[in-house]
Amino acid sequence: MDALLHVGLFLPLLAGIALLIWPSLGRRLAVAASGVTFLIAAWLFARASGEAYTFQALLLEPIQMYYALRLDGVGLVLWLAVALTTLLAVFIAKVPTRMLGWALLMESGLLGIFAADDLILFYVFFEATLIPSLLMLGLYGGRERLKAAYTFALFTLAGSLPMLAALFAVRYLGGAPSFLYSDLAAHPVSGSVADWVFLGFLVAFAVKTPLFPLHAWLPSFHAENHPSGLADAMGTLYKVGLFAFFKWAIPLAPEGFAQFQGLLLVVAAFSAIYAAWLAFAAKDWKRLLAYGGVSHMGLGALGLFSGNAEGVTGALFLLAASMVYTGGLFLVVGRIAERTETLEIGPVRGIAKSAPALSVLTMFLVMAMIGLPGLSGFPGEFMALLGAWKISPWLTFIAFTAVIAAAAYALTAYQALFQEEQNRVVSDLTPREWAFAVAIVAGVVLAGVYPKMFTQMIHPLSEALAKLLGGGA
Amino acid sequence: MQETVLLPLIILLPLLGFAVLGLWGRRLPEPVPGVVASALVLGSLLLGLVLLGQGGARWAVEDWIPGVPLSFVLDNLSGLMVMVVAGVGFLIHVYAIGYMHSDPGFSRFFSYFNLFIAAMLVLVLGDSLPVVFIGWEGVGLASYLLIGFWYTERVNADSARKAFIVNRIGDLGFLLGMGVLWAHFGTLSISELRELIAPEGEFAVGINVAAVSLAAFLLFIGAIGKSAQVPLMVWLPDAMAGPTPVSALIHAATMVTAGVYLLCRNSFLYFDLPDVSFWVVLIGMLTALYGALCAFGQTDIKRIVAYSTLSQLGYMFVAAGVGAYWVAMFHVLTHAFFKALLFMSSGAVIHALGGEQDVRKMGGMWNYLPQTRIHGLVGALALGGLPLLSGFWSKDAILAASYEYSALLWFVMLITAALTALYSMRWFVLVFMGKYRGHEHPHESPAVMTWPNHVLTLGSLFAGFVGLPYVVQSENLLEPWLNKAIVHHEHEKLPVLDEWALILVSAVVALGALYYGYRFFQAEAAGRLPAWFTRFQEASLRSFYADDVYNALLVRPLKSLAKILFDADGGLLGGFWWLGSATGNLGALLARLETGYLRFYAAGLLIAAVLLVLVGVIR
Amino acid sequence: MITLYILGAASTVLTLLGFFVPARVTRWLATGSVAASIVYLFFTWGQRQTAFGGLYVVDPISQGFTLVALLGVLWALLVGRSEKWEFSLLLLYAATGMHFMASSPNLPVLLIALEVFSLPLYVLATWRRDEPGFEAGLKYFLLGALSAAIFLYGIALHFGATGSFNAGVQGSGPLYAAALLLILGALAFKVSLVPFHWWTPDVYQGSPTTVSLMMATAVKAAGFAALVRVLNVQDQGLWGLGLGALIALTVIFGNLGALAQRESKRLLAYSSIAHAGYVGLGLYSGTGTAAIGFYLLAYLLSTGLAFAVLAAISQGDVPYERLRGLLYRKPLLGVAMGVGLLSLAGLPPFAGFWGKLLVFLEAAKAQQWGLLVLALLTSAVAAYYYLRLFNLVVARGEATEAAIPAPGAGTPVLAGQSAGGLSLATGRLAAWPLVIASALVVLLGILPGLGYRLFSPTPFAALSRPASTAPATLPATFAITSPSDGAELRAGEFSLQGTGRAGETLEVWDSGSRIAEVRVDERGGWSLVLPSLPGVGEHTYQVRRPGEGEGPSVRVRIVE
Repeated sequence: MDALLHVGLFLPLLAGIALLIWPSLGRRLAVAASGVTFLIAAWLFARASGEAYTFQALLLEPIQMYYALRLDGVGLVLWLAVALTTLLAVFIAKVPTRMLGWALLMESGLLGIFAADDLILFYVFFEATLIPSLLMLGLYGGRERLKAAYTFALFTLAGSLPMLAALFAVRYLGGAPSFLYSDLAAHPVSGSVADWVFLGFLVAFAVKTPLFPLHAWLPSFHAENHPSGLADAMGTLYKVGLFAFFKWAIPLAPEGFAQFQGLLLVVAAFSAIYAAWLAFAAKDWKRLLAYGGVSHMGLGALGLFSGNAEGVTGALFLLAASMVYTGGLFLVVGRIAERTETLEIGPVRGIAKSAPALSVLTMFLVMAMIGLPGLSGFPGEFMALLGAWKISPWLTFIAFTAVIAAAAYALTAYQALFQEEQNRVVSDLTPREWAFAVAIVAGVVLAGVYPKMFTQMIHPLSEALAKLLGGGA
Repeated sequence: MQETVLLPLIILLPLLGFAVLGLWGRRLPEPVPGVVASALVLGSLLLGLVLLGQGGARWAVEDWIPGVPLSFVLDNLSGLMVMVVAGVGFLIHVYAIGYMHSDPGFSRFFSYFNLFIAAMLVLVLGDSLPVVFIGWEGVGLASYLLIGFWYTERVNADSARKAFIVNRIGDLGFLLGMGVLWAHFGTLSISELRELIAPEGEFAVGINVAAVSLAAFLLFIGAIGKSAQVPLMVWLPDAMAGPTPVSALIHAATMVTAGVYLLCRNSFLYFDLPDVSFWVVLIGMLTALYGALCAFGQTDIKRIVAYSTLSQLGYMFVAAGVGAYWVAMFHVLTHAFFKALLFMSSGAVIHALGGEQDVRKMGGMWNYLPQTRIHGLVGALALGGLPLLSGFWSKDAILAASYEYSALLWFVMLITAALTALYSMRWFVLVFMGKYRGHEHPHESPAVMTWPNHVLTLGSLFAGFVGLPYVVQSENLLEPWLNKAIVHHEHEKLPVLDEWALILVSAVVALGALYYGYRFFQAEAAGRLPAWFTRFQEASLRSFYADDVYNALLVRPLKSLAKILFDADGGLLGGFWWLGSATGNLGALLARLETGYLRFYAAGLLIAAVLLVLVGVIR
Repeated sequence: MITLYILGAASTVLTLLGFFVPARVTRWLATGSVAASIVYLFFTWGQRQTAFGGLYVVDPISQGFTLVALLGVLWALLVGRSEKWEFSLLLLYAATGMHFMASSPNLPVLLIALEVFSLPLYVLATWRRDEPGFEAGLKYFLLGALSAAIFLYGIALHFGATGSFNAGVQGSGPLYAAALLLILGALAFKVSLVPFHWWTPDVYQGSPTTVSLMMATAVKAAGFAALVRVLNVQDQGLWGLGLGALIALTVIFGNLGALAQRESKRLLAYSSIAHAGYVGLGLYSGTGTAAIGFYLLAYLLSTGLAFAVLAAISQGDVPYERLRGLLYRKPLLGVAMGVGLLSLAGLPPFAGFWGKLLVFLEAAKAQQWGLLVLALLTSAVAAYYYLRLFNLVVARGEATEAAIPAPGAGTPVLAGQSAGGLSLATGRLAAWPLVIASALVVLLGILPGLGYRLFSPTPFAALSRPASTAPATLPATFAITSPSDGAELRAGEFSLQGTGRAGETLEVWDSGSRIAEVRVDERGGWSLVLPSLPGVGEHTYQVRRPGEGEGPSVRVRIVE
């Protein structure tokens, strides 16, 4: 099992490097590598027994830093989501071969983020993932890509560095003997130190959630990325803020979290409604999806910050689910852009007539995004609501008006592209796209109809966190 | 009550139809998809009846999401709804085989139709609020798809979208209502909630009434959205953009009554909350009146019927609000028959006139459509409340219940009943009486469309006899049967004389209004109307400006604000960049210290050394 | 010892031999001797030695920092070549001086070593023999002289205060503080800490790129080696504030100043200032030698890559625009530059990240939170200018080759390019250092332990020695040695001291609550300045191994 853990983690990395050096290996290698990774993730998921898969080796003895992996229920669910989305992305996106290599490198980083059990190791993965993401934007992006890349990189780095300070503080002021999660969690910081530590984490993870006003990098990041949607899908996977709050920030500085909880709930609720509103004014698909994503993560954050088991489970479920459907939407939009040569909403209309299956696929993913019950967007959103209501009914009400707005912006855009008078004939799904569609539909429906499969992995951990925070279930 | 996996099968049958027809329907020749879809719905109906005959059924998956089961229950209440949904739904399916003949989207249509039935069945069978919500949103999706069925027309797509969004407003209420219940009772299973809140037919001791009230109120908002009550009524008339069977299925028989069903299913929340119930009554009354008034000015044959639906739904809400839940369900049943009949007669007329929907270009159909004319007449009379027809009995039961609640309410509802009779006659007269005012060659529909209407006609004529007033039949069929599944207050019946008086009054009013309407609207057909009435019609045609008010007060400001915010968000990024360039400028300033002059450097070095030493020494 | 002999002998012999053999041979011999010194260093790694009555000490500091310095010199020798044989010779002199600088605890010797490696550098700075070159050399020389004077004055005061010429001798009082700070200032000049940094941008820009490479890497290593020895003083109050001020100014000025630059070498000059500030953070904890060493190694590799790439483009100025699309024109240079820049920016998984992490950890251990946060914030600023260059390197061809004043159409950038008599190594010879350094940056980024271990007190303990022969002489137990049990003390006037196993971490408890964590140093001792003043009354100080419930303790009474 250990071996599988490492193979899963580093196979994409090796395949990615190989692709960068020998691009002639082509897409087949990328699909094979990410496919195997997905199988490994699925195998680990299926064989999960309630005990986490762990591995520990001392990496840097003098500072007691470990190469420590711990894949628990939450990690497995997220691994599955990341592996599936990456597989789908490299399978479907039409991009230069080297870009697939960067995507694979990113996959390794992401898997590492969810598996790391040593805070420094986590930081390493968290930061290292920036590089391929940045390069995909910088190398293959649109006209304004460099500015977008700076924005992205600086937000990320400016966020991560306070986190580094927090990371030192949590160990040396908390008195843990190592950077292992278990050690750190056993020595939580308290008092005003806890506030500062949490604040440090907060900045880093708010950028990556993203929460207002640190979401500002996101629209241009997506708008300028390669139109295929590969980089956007990978970027969506990189929105790991909620997970990081759950795994690190809150357990390591629970007192700090308690201090900021009120503010965070307000910010989360505001992000949700604010971004949904903005999405309504977006004139291109990528910005629309970007803002839509911010809005959904706002709802998730509201659940997470409510600190009770159902809210936390909801947030993590939503995170995993949104990786798949938002990533999928970016990819589908990429396929549409390839046909219509534009990402703008408006110029091309009525293409459902000539591409019915494509329109159904898009509609399906849009419905998943706006949280239609029975699809994967709903259980997470719903549990987040249940959890949040317990803490703050008014904020919940305000935030969840976003579900109305979501219907408005998503269906308006859908209508503009697919419905009304047809002015462009496009081709319908190719066999490859059909395969993509079947896979993603299966995933989304499975998670929507039988969420228990995933929530039973997540919930015990959420309950533990809730217990730590004293909220109880 | 048995645990059986057959219960979810009721839902899976039409769901299967949805999937199969959606994927492969286009390869099937024309009537096949329709036949398959109809057969599956019939299967659901029969299965439901069999299980109901065996005393109901349940089925559950525990911890579907943590703390919430995926559970279904078939009791008398949901059984009645299954009969309505699958029964009337089946008839409409059959009708649609004829109506949708040669439409390029034939199989797609039936696929959506089956999806709708499946979602509706989830809604009525769900025993856990989130499960009900799945159906709740599922029917929303299906109706969105069906209203926008002919999506290449912009107005259709707009209407579909509007329906979905307005429904979502109500859905938010539903969601938040679940939030309240979860926070206070820790469960969302309806049967568990019922045990917790009203175990013995009254509120449990020490229950948090404020929380129950809030939950009840929020769920009621959900019901308002789905049942198109004031103030969320704007979507329903526009929803007539869909094909006629859609209007019949969604906006008559089933989907819009979901709100009423929700109130009845959760009556254990409402039955002892006079404050919330008052709101239910008030909203229902306003809607009944508003719908009736709007119906007078419509020129689209289906929109007249649509507004009558609004009005009738208002009746049902009044019934639920005053605590007569079984009466509300009774009206759901009768209404399903006569409203489906009206819609499908309208459809037959539209079909006969090659798609014409404007009543001003109709008239004289009595002479052309020998079967549809009977359907139309029975439907209109049942809606208008002609004594002994189904609509009369259920409406009378509502009037009696309102009288118990308040005489004023009774009076308003009676006026509305009179209005109902009037506009139902308007509909009938404009369509069937007088001379034909158009240029088509009307022809009667094929048998596949008329036979379902025959059945519905029978229903409209006789369905009322299952719920006769106690003065006629001391114990009717429906009331005790339904009350097994509904929490409600037992109360004294009205004295016999009062009851008879009420029946008489409503019969007289209905007859009078029907007759007067028949006479009066012959004048409209001939274009001779009093001036005041024309002015009234103009306002009525525009639904008393409800859409304009919403657009001016909500939609447009929200849209403009979105634009402003969108630009402001770009500004936010600009702000961050400003911060960056400010740092850069500071850097440039610092870099200018590197003057290149040696003397400056040397001085700097020495001063630095001195300061450093001073820091160390003085410390 | 042999290292010194090799370097010293090679310098002397080559000075004479140079007149008779071609410059090429001199260069090969110089390179060979530096390489041999490095090889020898490795063979004797971890062995301690003292000579000349304690004036020359081989210890981990000496070995680690010499290694970094020699690698820098070696790289400069490989990359730059001159038809004049003096060039290699001067580099060799400098190497000798640097080695001595890293290996002596004696202040006057340090001064001499400083001059030994500075004088060749003054000459090398002018190597291009053009206006900016002379200006650079002159500035460096005059300011260098000034700083040497400050150093000398510091030594005098040090002797006055302690009666000793040895660095690291404990003392107290204003005189001692002044001495420490003057020496700090003089060394700060060499490692470019603000406000002693004035020369850096001008000199880096004016000197041949190869020389700048060496200044940025080797000189810093030598300077910090001395700083580590000088500041090995228990009472941080004496110099902590001063160093803190220097570091704060340095990271602010270095990073913000770099933002305004448009020329690559000048940018790297500012960057080297900023990095000096980060290295300085490692001085606080007293256990940071290894971290500083690792940082310098990582920095050597990364900035070396950047300088080497610039040197491959031109020995003169390299405006940013000339880097545009480098990755496509010269993939090797592009990749090397990219790796170097990302490592300088401190992004994982590159060596630069671990360097930063390790020195920051030291600062955290020493509770220097203010400085730490400042350093982190300025790191974010730093990311911007590194990424700007990085983006140019990978930017796809808007600027064409035409924008670059290439020496001739079709001439590869790596080809020889004369600049003031200094030509460049061509072809494979220049490429290999790039490949090796890039690989090392990545390798150390993935397995930082490899590099870190080099600088640890017992570098190859885990590798070469079986675990059973682990130093048994060191105390296996741990204890509090001062204050003694039952002592009466005044709050704020004592610190806790004790023994333990070298390298292990111990917890200190005060009457049942954990107050701090200490790390046992290489000599098996530890000391703790109490984080907050204890209240009046009885206190029981106890030291425990993490996770254990008990340990030796002392009871003391704190009086007014």
